[in-house]
Amino acid sequence: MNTRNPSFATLWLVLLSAAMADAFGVVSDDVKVDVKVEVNNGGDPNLPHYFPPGIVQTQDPLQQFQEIGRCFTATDKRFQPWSGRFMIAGDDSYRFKTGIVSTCTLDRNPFDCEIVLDHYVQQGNRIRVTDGLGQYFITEAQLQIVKDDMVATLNVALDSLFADYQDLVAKVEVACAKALHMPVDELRARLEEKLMDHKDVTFRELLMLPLPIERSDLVPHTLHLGCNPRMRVLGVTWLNAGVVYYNPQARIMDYVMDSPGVLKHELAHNVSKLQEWPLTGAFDAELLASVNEMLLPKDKVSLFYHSYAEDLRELMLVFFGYDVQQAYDEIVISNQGGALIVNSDKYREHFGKLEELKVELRKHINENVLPEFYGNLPYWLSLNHRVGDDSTVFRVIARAHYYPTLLGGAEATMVWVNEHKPEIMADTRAVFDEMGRDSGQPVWIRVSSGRYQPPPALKRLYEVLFSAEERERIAAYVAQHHEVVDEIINKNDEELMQWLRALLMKGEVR
Amino acid sequence: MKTQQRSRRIVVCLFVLILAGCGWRPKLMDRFTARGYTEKQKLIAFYEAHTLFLEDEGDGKVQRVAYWRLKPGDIRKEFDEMAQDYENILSYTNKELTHYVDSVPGMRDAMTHKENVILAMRARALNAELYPKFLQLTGSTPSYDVLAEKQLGYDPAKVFGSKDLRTDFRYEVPALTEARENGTLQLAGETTHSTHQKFGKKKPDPDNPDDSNAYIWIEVRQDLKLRFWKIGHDAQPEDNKPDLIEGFRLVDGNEESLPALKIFFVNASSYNQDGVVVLDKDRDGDPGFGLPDFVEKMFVGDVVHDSRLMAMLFEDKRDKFRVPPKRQGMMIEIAKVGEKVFDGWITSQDHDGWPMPKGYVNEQKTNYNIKLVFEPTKDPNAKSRRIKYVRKEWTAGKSTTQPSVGRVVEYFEPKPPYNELLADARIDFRESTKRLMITRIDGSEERLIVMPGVNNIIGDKPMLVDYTAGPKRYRLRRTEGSEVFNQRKVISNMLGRKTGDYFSTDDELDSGGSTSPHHQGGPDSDYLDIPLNFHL
Repeated sequence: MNTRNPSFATLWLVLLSAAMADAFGVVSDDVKVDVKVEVNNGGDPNLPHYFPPGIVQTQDPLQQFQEIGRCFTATDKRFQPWSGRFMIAGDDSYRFKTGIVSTCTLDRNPFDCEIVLDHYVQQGNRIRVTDGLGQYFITEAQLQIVKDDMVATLNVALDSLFADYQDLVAKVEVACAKALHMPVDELRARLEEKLMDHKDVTFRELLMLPLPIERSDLVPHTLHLGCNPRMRVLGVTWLNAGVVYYNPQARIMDYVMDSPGVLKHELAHNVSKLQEWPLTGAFDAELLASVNEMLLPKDKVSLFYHSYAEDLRELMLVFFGYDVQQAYDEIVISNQGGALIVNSDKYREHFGKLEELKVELRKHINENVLPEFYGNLPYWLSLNHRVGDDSTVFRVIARAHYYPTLLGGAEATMVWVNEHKPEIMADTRAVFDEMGRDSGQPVWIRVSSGRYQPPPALKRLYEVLFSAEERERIAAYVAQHHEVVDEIINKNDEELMQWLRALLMKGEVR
Repeated sequence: MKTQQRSRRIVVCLFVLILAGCGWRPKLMDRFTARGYTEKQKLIAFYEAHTLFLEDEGDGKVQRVAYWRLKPGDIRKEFDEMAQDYENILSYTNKELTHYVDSVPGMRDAMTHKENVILAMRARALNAELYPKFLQLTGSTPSYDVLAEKQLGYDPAKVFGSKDLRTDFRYEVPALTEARENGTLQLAGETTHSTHQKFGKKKPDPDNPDDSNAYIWIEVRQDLKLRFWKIGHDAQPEDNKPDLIEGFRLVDGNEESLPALKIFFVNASSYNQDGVVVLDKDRDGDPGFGLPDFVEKMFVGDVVHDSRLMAMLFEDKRDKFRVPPKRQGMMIEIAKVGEKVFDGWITSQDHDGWPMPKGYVNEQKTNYNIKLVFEPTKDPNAKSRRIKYVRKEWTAGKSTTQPSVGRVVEYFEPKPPYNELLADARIDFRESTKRLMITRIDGSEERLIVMPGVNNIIGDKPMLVDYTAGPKRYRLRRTEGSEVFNQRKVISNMLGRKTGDYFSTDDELDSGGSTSPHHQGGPDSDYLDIPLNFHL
């Protein structure tokens, strides 16, 4: 979501469940159920009490999807109450220090990460829990299981994300040095120098290069296990503040996958060295946070269904030929009022094909896209702005490394591309120039009162399209009709050339 | 968390819509559709369009990013937006953003520092935009258009490679530099321009950022010293036109360390006063000071009367107004009607009471109209009324409709027997605005002129005085036993505006709008009483 709003920028919307409902009809939210909550009713007593009984961990794509769908259906009312009500989270809720150091906030001050179990309130030796289906007591032992599970899950997510990020800054510096035409060692030697004209600003800051990432930078200041009653979200991060909410439904989903993807996604938002508000409004922060979540081998769901992965699916289509829509059409045999009949074999076949592509794409993004993006942030943010697309780096760098294959393989596609390249690039330049007119770039340069010089590209185009004799006639006309100057400098290149040609054709220019 | 004000949300939504509506993807797709491409071909073409930002590294295999496709202006514009984002977040104008930033220790300081970084980056991008323009305008490079497009494009090394822009990019003209070095640049004159306005600019009240009608006045000082330089030793030059003007902002009488304004008259002919203007909006000590924000060739006449230049030189600096709102404690009070009266009267601490307005009475003390104020009556059918006050409405000179200075109105109590119940009382204003016509209960009539000074009709001293001073209108009164006007209150500015108007009254605003049962007149009648029930 392209916004500089600290809340909107960070929502990990629970579109997954909506997508699942839409695709497979496994969720029905409207049925009135008189539920009597039983704590761990027949479930594994070593699992958190809020897990649905009989919950299954699976890496089979169809089963994983089915299990998550069932778990969401079973827990929607409980953990996504969507009441519109305000609740005070954490005031008297059970909270504890984890002993895990956090340096995620902008001031980098170390803090012992705290976990808050929202609306778990100690009453004597019992803990009263409130959720969307009621209030009930759990024991100290059950509380301990929830606490242990949260700390363990946090550590797994931290380790996984740190493995993705720990070498990133070194790669970023290499990419930056290349753009600066400078040996990387020379760049590194200069990075902490202060500028002379802004003495509190370092060269690293000037280049928008992140500081090396430590594991503690990923750790939230405060991690809530709870719901946000006015948002349907699995998780949400308050940028720059180090506050992360992790919905119990998300914990259930992560358990089914045996990989804390949702928490990892939120922790990626939490790294202020990489996702600092309000700069997050100038790029697709959700896509960046999704890469090391949705492309993980254990996540068999998100890449196919989640809205944040839309650009990833398009890259797979253009460059690898994987068509999600075609796969979906082949998987679904019949839609019976929202309950879908699917071809299990096709499902497993299509999802099986994804695995190799996920590995390739994730490697490409971590090795090529992220270093280039963070190594030249001023450029990519400006390009996003100029062309009105917050994911340009993904498209440009993909094209730099891969041939498109969509039109029947790379060879056939490139035959078509080569045939049409001149017209494609003519259109591209025209649109790019048109959008640049709003960017304040100096198109026509005023050299003195009433005298302007065209930009070099336009001048060259003019010289190609019009003969010397025609140019003389046009110059003479403009000299006599000074009122047309404003009209000329405000036309885009294509319009101007057509206008000048029409002028010659009409015979007004003699 | 609702993190932002509604206005900001709207801005955000618009921003997204603008991106969606104006991004290059739909424009390109439209063109590709027009070329007859299929959906798949259009998608391929869209991705192929991105090769615009790539170039061959030379071996025909590896592609690298062609950063030069963007212009420094593109980079500067992005940083303009970022700087505005930080301004919106840190300026205390948005309550919810302020709460968010201040809810986390250290966030404001860190974001303020980041804002400085953004401003330093913006200064570099702007410099990359302006410096080539300066060289071209001053003729230091042969011509802008002979430079290759690539050279004019964004180069990270050129834009961000400098450690000190002020030494690496000198906005100087060789001829002037040379003259300065060899001592042939002479000071041809200097002048100082100063303006001071206590109420210079109206700004939103920082203590009430959500109230669009709350404001504060900001004092404005514009002090500028101009120096005029001329090249040459000649004691008697052909003309007195300068080759360079330097302008220094003055702060508490002291010049800033670097000129905020330079105007180069290089290659200027005697009939052409176009100068190359180099202007720095930043103040000494602020990020970006010493680097221009504006370079343009323009006609230059009198600098201090050029509103555009002066406005840029003394543009508001955001930091000065970045003041946290005062947090006032909540005052809880229960005030029951009837237990106490809150009538707005303030008692003067001075023995002489509140000062009276001055200068509204002419020498003969005759510049007034008379109007009447009646005692309130509860009976709408009452056949008689009592005059409560005779009102002297002071006018300007001989006019009966132009108010005096301060729109002064005095209220006198009638003397007996005019304070008794009357069948009717009117002002015979067509005859004279000082003529009173009364009808007694027994039916006898009397016509009287309310004369200046002591007379038989009204008391010697007014009981009340209304007047306007500055933006406010006041009422003075004497409490029982007081010889001076010891109490004052602010009244509506709408009162006292209908001088000499006997067809309507603005005092109805104060009287609760009740009308007199004796009201016999109207716009067409010859006589009109003033239908007031006057509550004090």
